[in-house]
Amino acid sequence: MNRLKQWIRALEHSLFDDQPICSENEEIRAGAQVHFRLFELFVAAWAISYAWTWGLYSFKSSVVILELGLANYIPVASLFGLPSMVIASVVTLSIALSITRLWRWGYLIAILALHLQYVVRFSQGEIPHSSNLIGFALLALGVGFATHKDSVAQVRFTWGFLWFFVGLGYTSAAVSKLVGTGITWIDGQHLVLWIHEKAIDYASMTGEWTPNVLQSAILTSPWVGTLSLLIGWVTEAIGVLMWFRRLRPWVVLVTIGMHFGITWTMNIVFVAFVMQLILTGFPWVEWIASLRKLTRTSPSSSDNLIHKP
Amino acid sequence: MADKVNDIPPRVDLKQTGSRPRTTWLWRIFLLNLILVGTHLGEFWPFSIFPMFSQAGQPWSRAMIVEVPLSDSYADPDTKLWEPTDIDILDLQAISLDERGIDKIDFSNYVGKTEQWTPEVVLGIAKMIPDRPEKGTAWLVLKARGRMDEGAVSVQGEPMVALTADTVVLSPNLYP
Repeated sequence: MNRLKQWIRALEHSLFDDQPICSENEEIRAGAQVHFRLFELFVAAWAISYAWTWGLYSFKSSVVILELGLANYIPVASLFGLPSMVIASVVTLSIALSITRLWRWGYLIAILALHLQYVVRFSQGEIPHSSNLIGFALLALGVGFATHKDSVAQVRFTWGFLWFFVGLGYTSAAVSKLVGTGITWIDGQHLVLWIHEKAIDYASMTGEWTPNVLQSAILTSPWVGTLSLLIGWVTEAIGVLMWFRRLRPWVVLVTIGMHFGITWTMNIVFVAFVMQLILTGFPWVEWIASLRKLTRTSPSSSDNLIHKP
Repeated sequence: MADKVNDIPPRVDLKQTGSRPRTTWLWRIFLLNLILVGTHLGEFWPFSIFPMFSQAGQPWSRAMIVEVPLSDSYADPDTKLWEPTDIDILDLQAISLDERGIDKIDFSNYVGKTEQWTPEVVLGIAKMIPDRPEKGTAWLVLKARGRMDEGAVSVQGEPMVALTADTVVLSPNLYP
């Protein structure tokens, strides 16, 4: 039990204390605040965009085919159409109140309303995961702002909470594959079957489909598929290493590579995932601070020319 | 120069400033996550066990619309029009759902998961597709089924509904 407590304390330290906003360097702390505001804007833009596009789509829905989340308890068919516009308005207004620091509970209301909008929109049978990372980010902001008044604590909680669930999510995906199929999951023929499925999807969507170089290689040599699946599975499995700041950029980098791999093999595009990983997964604040320091301390060649006697 | 670049002071814990977050909230939400995904088949957005692609090698079903020459025997269950045909993915031509503002997954689910093809369900297809084929042609809504048998992958398309310029016809094989 003591060992578990120590482990939890070490994890909490890694998630919540090892952050740029805790730096002694004032410039880095200021940079961390700017970075956090950019992150808030990014999450707000995506969440508001989801709220309205999901709501607008619900005008086409007439029956509930799949009950997700709160749809198990609420007759969401009654929220198709105009009521979903009200939900989108609530998401937008709540986010606006929190991002302008007028009301710290806004983000929490927004994530609850966006959950409702998700179950309204995806009551038609599809269960996409493309919005889950934005969902985690809005939830992190929601809980972080609702449970903390101090602005630094809000930032620290949001980042720690977010990385915990993002890392856990990727590793959970790897575990699901082991549970669902076992170690034979990496058999390249499985990828061949998925490429066929996605080819039908793509043709259905656009009118035609032509395999790219990687897809052609997998269709003709399934061992290329086996190698691709192995690399993808290992990348997902190490997701929890995102919990540790020093490893995070490397894990995020290979995870972005994995998302591009999925795009090239199965035509599934991860725009929000990749953008969020790029914005949050790298030590931009430290890099920019180092760059600024470098430019401050090294006189440029033109300066040398000017000051030469 | 390199020393100066790395001259960023070490991080310190600001516990004394009162800004340490209340980490118990992470564990409370984590517990809530476990309860919600545990009682809702692994999905409670944004919480999820992320089960996508976890069941490899399973047969799948999708839907697509293809254009065919108009036939005058749609009501004939014996006509070859309604027989399943093999689909070669290297030679795919379809009617674009994107151009008609239809979500491909929703369309696939609508076609693939429907068990009772009632007149309302057929009308739902007609409502989903905003336009109609030109005279002399028909659009067949195919249920595409993919499977893996002893390492070989095959896809078959079963016609479900035919749309012409002025009618919507259900496959006689699906009459309720």
